[in-house]
Amino acid sequence: MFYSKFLRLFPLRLFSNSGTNQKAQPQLPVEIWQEIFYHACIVDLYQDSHDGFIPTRIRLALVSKHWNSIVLATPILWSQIVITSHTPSGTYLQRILHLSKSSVLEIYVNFSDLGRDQIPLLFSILRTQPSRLGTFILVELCYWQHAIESLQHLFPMNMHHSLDHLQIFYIGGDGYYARTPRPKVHMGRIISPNLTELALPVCYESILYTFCGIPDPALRKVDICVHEGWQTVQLVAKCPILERLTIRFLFDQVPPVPFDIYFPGTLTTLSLDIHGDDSSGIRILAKHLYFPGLRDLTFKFTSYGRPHSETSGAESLQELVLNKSPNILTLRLHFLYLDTAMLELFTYLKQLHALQLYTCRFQPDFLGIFCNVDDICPQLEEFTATCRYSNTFFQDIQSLLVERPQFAKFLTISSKLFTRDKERAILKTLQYQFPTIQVVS
Amino acid sequence: MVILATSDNEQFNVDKEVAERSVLIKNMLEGENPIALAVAFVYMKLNGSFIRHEDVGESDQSIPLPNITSPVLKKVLEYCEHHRGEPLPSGDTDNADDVRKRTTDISEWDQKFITVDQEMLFEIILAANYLDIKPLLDVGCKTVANMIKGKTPEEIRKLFNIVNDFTPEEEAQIKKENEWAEDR
Repeated sequence: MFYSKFLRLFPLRLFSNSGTNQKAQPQLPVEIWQEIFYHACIVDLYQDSHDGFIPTRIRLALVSKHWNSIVLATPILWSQIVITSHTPSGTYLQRILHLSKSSVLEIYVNFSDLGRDQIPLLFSILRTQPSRLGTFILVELCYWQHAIESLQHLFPMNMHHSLDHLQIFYIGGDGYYARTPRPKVHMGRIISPNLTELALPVCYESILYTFCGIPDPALRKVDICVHEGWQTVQLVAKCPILERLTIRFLFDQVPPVPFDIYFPGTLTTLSLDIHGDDSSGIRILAKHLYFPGLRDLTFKFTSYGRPHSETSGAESLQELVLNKSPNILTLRLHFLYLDTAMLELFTYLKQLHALQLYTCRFQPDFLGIFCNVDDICPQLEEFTATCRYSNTFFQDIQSLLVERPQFAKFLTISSKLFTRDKERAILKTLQYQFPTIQVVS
Repeated sequence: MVILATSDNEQFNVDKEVAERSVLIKNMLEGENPIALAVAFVYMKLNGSFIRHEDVGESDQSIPLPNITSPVLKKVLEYCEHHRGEPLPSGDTDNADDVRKRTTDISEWDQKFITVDQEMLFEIILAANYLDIKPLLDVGCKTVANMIKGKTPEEIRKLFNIVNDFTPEEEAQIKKENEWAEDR
């Protein structure tokens, strides 16, 4: 982006006293400083914490006049805007918009303690930049009034031709408002024909069904929850070039699917995030969902207590994986309960390239099956097995590697598991015998 | 093999595949960069030798790298050797930028490689820029970026030996413009 061919062709000696003074002020070309500042300033708005966020660009601008001029003349450094209750006035926001020139904007708004007067101001300023909104992340719309007001501002904007990434984390659901009767909200739809990524992973409001541009033609990646019904998922399935989909279930039970849902053949990656119940959830999904093009499937079961069922739902999973999605190459299973039926499933999955298993109830068969069946998953290139409870885990790992030494190069072992002296001795032996094992702390 | 000549008159015999990690050298060898060839030509003339277009990259003729010293070139070649055979970045910078954008992560080997003193680090960056080795330039820039991250302006000045040439009034003005609050 900032590379200049001419810089390479007509280089200057930029270290005038190079070799004589270790602490000479580095004099790099402006283009390289811009590149460095870019890496220093552009943060991951989806993951990084924004508490007390002071943009790095301001620190850089205060270093020296030279740096200040570079920062001011690099629009992309001003393209990320984080708005929290600490964010100063509208004048400041307008200044950033001016300095970012025509860069595509990435905007992150945390509503958790944003003043109510700030919301209309924010949207009135953003309305002046109709073609520059690239990413819009709204976080903590916990208070119903906040959520509704913000979304009411957002929806009529009707100008999101540039918007390619919209994430709204956590809409509604706070205890007080959840119990308070309130009118149904009819938001209409955002017109955002170029939206490629949409994430609404936690939404307790009844706005999902009519939300956003689903099924916008450009949507490739969707992360959505099932709250009241499957209508939204049914709409998502109509996105013609959908590639990656995450469906989250906010409550312990997977709600019944009243109709069959056929996903487009372009859908290659699916993640299902289910609370609590293993088997009935899989059964419901296996019966009604169809994903013919799937390559990568993740089943994630989480529970804070005992799972509701005592079976893994392997038969249903078998139907889902073998009959409906025969081209799966990567399978990630986060299981509460792993039974023999589930283990047998792997014997049918000879085409797998990658297998990741997470379980909190470890059984020796879990690894034993890989020791005893020579032809299981012959194309496996990546294998991860993680478990939480096991008395024989360490011995089993050892047997596995003796029987299938080729797994050693795929194996990453957490050293945290090896807490006792005896276990540490086993780990040392394993590392000695199989130097390709990776041990992480 | 390709012979590379540094500014301190040291010559390095390098496998063509390794040398061609540099887009500049690759283009010179392929005769696709007339300006670079002209630079090399002038340099060779100044040094009393003569270079013909078809000679560039031949085993008996070296490619001059007039602003790279031998210790720096040695490091650069170490990098190129390690990454030999890896796909070169494509011309499609938009995608590459997008991938680079979210992370300042550096691979373990690259991290060890780039653990050098500050002067060498900047020399490597300049050499990577000159030779057009984008992945190495990236590693260098990300390393400096990581050094900067989380530091106050004063700490950054100290780190790079930069003089604060703002007057107190100017500094206050910048802080005001950006509504800076130290205690935030």
